[in-house]
Amino acid sequence: MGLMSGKNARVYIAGYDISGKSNKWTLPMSRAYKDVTCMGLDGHKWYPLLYSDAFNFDAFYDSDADGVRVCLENLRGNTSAIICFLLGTTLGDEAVGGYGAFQENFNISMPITDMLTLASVFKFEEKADEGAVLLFPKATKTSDGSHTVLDQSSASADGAVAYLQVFSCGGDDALIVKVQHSDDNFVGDVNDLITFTTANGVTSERKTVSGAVKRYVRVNWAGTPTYSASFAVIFKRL
Amino acid sequence: MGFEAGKDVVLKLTDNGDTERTLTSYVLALRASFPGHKLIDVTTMGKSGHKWASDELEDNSFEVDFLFDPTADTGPWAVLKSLRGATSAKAFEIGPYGSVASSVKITGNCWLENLPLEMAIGDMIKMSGVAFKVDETITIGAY
Repeated sequence: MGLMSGKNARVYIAGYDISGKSNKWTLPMSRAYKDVTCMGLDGHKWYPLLYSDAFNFDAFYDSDADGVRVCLENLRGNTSAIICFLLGTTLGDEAVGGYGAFQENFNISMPITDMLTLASVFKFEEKADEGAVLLFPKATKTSDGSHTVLDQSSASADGAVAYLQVFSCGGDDALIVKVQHSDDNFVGDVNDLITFTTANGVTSERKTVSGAVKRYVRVNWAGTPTYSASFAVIFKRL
Repeated sequence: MGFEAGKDVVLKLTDNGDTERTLTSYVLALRASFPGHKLIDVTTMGKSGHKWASDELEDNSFEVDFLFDPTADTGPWAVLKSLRGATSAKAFEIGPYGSVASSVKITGNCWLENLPLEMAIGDMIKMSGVAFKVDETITIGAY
């Protein structure tokens, strides 16, 4: 790995891919500290309190049905959006997930000398899941299958979290997306780790699992033929 | 000695696994604030200007702009995201103008206060304004 250009980043909000209409995002992930300085110390002493994670972005106003304006309008008053940030677009690239996102503001700038632009701020519930990886890059699937396996070097014991973003899906497609894990690169050992709720339209979901997670992970999907669904998955060991 | 260029800054942070990591090659800028105390306004009646007293407590912090690199364990993203979950302050070392013998070395223990991730078209992914609070005091010594 090395330095990464910002142009390959992606952001998905509640089943909307707004990457192509936005030009800058920031995730000010912060944590509060209580000053617990007591008598006899020579400098301030701190104790960690709550995380306070947020997501800010700038975008160009567009009136497409799947555009950022529609996405933001639909999220007004929504307090449970699922957001995924991808820092690259290939399997294993770093990603950050956030849930329970609450749209704090939604600003439209309309100057006579410039483009119409949008800016919005979301706050996350609890904390963002930094350190996730892209397990299934956004793609459209029309037949059942599994994606390339991600070898994460070793197994872990503390569970996992995964985020699904479904960008398009028919009303009777019954798309089932799973995260599977294996000890032997799926040669003989194949196990379902996380199964997302069956999708029949644009949706997003965050699911967690506790306990052991095996070394190899992949995404598996199935639908009711004939179907056409576009989706993406990010994953993190806890 | 005379003026010193900013290009030779050294930054080392201890990650949440208690391994010291050198992040110098990812640092774009480092801004430190190491006041030896906070001033308390003790101005009383009859004075014609503010009068100040020291609270005798160091109140130290520093802020760093990093380039993003997801290299496992040793890259800045790996180190900083590990510090998000830290339950104790971790050691840091700053060399304002390098680490050759007799150069100033500032050490102490710190908490990660925020981890702002910035992605913009036409630019590299950055972590600008990563803030650290220093626990208790710093030590200003020399390499």
